[in-house]
Amino acid sequence: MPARFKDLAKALEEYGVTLEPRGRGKHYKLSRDGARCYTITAHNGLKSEISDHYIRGACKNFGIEPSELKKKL
Amino acid sequence: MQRRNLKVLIHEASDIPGQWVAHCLNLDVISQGNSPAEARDNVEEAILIVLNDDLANGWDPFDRDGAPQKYWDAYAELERIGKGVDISNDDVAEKENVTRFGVVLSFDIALSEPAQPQAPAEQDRASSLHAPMFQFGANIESPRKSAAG
Repeated sequence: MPARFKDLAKALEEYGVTLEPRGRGKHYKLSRDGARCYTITAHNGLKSEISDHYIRGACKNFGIEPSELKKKL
Repeated sequence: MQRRNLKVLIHEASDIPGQWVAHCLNLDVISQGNSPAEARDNVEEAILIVLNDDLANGWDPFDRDGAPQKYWDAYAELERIGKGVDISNDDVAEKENVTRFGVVLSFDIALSEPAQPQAPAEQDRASSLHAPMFQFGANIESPRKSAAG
């Protein structure tokens, strides 16, 4: 199930992940203490739909169980 | 300065019509776009953000876990059966009836220099060479659809 950028961002923030815009503005950098950064695309603005494929990668990077994250979406 | 070639698998998002996913297998970094070309450009930007952040923190970006094996398998299949295509044309997927692309993106990376925590953007230590070295595509089922089956 895909998610809207703003919903995914809010859910990730509940895990202590912070977001900051980077690059040419199409991505936000995701950071959490002790973890390597990841990125999230906002190529269609805050209403960008984010694929499950991406959500898996972000969850893996931060050690989040995807099914738990999806409950917050 | 080292030159590193990173493999990127680009395919339609099976859960979002009209969206393309670009997946850098070496770093397991993913982005999306409204076309294969935009997805490629966007993953290039995402890769640069990740590379530069890792380097600024003194981490070797290539210590990151790569993508799950099924995506490497999908890329290998594409290498085996794909044909050369020009994905700079946004209509290529429709014109060429291609559903999956492989691209090799090249980056120059200053791995051996001492770490400079929180280095500002002008001190970025990774840069893209922009032009993909090689790209190919084929009309085959998406890896996610294959995995679901």
